[in-house]
Amino acid sequence: MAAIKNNIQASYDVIVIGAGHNGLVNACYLQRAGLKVLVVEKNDWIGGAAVSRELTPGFIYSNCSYVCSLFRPEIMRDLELPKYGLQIIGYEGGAVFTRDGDFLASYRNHHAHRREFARHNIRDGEAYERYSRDVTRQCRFIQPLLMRTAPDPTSLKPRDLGELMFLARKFTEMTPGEMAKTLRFWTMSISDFLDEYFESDVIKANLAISGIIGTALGPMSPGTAYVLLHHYMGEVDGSVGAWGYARGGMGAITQALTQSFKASGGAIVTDAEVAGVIVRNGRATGVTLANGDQYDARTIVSNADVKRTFLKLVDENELPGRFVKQVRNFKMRGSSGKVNIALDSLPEFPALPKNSPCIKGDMHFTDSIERMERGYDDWKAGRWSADPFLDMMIPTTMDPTMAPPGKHFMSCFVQYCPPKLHTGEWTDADRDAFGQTVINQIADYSPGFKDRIIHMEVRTPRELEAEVGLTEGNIFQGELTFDQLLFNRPVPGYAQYRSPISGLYICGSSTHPGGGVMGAPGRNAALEILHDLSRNNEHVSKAHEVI
Amino acid sequence: MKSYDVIVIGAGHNGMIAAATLSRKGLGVLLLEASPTYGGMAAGGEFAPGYAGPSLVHSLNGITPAILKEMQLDKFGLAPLPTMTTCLSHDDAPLLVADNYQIAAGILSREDEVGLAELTRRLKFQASILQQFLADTPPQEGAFPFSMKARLAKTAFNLKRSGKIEMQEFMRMALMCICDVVDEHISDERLKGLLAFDGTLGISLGPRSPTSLFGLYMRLATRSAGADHTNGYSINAAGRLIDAIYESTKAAGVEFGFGRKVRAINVNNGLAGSVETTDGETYSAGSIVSAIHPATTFLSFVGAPKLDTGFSREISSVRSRGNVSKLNLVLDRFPHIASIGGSGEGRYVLAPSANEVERNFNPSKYGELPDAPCFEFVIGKGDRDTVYLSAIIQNTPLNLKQGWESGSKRLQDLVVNCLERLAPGIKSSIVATRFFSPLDIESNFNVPGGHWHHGELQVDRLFSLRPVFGAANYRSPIDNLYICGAGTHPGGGLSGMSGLNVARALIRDKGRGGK
Repeated sequence: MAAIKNNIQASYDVIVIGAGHNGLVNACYLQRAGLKVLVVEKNDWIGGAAVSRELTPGFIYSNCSYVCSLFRPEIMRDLELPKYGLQIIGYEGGAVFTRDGDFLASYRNHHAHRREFARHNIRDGEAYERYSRDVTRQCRFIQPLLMRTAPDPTSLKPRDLGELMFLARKFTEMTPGEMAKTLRFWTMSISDFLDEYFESDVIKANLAISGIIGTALGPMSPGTAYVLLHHYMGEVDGSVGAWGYARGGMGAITQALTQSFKASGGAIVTDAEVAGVIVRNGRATGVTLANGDQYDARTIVSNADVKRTFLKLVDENELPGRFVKQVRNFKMRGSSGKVNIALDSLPEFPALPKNSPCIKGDMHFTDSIERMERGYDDWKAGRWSADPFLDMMIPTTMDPTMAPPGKHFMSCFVQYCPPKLHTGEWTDADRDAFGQTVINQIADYSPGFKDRIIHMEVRTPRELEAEVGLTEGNIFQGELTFDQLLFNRPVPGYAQYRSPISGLYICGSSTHPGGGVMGAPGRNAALEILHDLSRNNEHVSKAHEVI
Repeated sequence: MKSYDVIVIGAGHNGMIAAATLSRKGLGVLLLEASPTYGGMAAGGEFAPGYAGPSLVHSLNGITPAILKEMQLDKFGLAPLPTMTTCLSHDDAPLLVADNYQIAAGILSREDEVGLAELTRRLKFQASILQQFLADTPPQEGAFPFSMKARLAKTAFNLKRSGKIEMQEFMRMALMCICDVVDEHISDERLKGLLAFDGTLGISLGPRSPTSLFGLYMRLATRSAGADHTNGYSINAAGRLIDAIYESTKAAGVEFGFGRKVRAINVNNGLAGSVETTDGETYSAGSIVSAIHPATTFLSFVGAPKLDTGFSREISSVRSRGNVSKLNLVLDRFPHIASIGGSGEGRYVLAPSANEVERNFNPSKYGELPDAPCFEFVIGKGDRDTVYLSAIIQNTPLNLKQGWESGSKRLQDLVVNCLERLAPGIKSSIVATRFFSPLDIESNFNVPGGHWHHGELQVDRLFSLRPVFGAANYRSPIDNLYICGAGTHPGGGLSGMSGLNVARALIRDKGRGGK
């Protein structure tokens, strides 16, 4: 700590609030442009929701985000993250366990995957070809938009018109039939979309997973087909749609970013909660910390979500009334919790064949869309799902660095879990009961599971908000519905990373293109800031088309 | 084999409007109808056993001036219809809501009055943008006429001219859910309940489902596109309109063939040439217009082997599982609704809050009935000094897990008990009852799935995507085969626009004389 503090000077070119992955990406790019950048982080650790934490001796927990795919390879390369220790290991396998004792396996190999579908339903095996082709086509349309600032459709500035033209051109590059499909895809529920391809309940449940993760919508809600896309447009080592583990836990990403940032001369101060952004004459001039310290800079970038930034860190009187109302109306609804477990030994799943690779990937116990949707109904009523959906991983099956030999770390992402219960705020007893619901579900499919548990951490939206700072515990810093995407994200009129206060920017997942450990918002915001400061941006790679 | 210029299949209002319009252009038109009478789902007949009246429809919404003119309906007496809705709830005072969600001053809180004014102004403006497209023929592949491009450009220009804020709000709100939008503006639960109910009635969405606001837009747009006095709630208005349309169609020289159920549309080399009925007759025609459900037209009558695989797959993916039931009660007196202290002709809605409508929607997703149904009912004078109570019950799924045999009884009991709570004594005043589940609607009115709109009226199936891309401009991949009806743009209701549009499309294709 002391060593870091020595680096600090009272005045900087840029202050980034929050050392999450987007804040760090933003800081790296700005520092590399020759600006003097300081990152201030409220916790005494770095990483926001992309962290590796040793919560019990010998076990490293990815206790928030837990898998990686969306992180843009252009950013990895620009910031030389592999050089600073980042390694993403693509994982093979995954399974949905069914209530009749069978399972549906996932494989990275397309043909193996198709054969597994065919084992459950021969027609679904064929439909999978059609489905993959159609979804890839949708990815191809959306992916180029990730690394661009969304145009303001109400503006007549040449740049906005140009970007609108780009969007229109991308759209019209498709055949009319494909355009029709795209329009439908964007407005459909994942359930309806899958019904057009598949018959088997478990296959549909398997594919619907990406449509609901992180969102406060059920698989039968229109708009969830888009959420699926959001989870499909990533890649691991050029393998599009693949997911992987960050070696050493998800904190490896933010650690590598930190190393890269420091190597180019950047400074970070931790345990430094920002109390407010100082605004003078409509211009941001610095930040004050909760401990009374003050740092000055002409550019302030907030990695915090849009509600926290403008409703807590900025004096409301400095903002236009309509903007404040818009921010209040921004939907951030926590829908998920997390149960992180240290295990004495590898759990057994009798449904799986011995040495099946499925245990290395994402495992689930929800074998029908109806069960997922019922989980969502619980959430709407202010209860955690009685029969929750789990996205369960054991990263130590591939990464031995996260647990002592023979022991394992298990990450369970749990949906649905409301930010507030119908009985009121969360209590510790509620949290424990929620954790028990999850453990019971796993134990139903894995005999002796409970005896293997050494340590367990249960996180509800309450904990996510308190520790990471995500309002209502929403992991995407805001719902990914149409009214909050592209030029509507976070709010219409301020979708280009700027705010009504000059010199104050936002760069978190509340901005386009949204959540996931992607880094694109941080990078895009950096480009806008460099533009405003008339700085060179040659070190920021353009997006390259991959698909 | 008898030969005609055009055969129209289905004597619903759209089929009759298409037939009459074509006949007036000098074409010989035969209109085939499976049932013994005209009107389709809007037909008159029996309200309940022994009591005459319409079976299903109890409201009029937006007959356009174009239809009134084309069908010479000026003789059809257009009188103002009741448009007032009374929102009821078990615990709250009733709320009177006029057309377009206007509420008399002093009833809502000050904040809600301001919020409602802004909400309705915004919804009306946004619906008016969509309204411009209701009467259009949607563009399709290779058929994107200049007029449509010009209209799109004009719409963009108008939107731009409306100012930055309105433009932003339109682009933000268009695909939102009803709950989020109403929560941003008002807090009165009864009013939120009504908006939630109106926006989701007849479709399989809850008010918390994204895109559900579109249901409200459609409702507002269709209504404001209608001629004067063509909106409102009345037991008999739709029946009288259908009678007038029938008279006009007959006067136009259309030959009706009642009780002739079509079995097949014969297609040779991609050309539709004749129609076969179940009694073994074959009628040949230069063109065929099918005004019935697209799935029946393409999958049953034409048959998948005659269609492109992709097209027949698309058609079979049209979601058409009805979600609405109908309960008709004949009463010997006007019910005494306790919270009002009586009742009169008009519409009543039981949807106490938006959350209640959403809760109501939940079980329907799994083929179950709600515990506390949300429904609307229209009260009016009936036959022989009786009073008719016509109820439409939301969220009653076609694929009921318990089966409709037992489900029908259960749902009727739920609704009648609910009514009894609102209007004590109503049970003892019932003299006759008739009930239609979605399954009954399917079998009684030849509508697959019993869906009122011949397929979900959701954003992914509107305009150029309705019923499917490739058949949205009233033409189909089969030459000489045209389609109209609720399954095509602009969807269900009684606007009649698809009947007029298909006739225009056919005349345009076949030249002035239409032959």
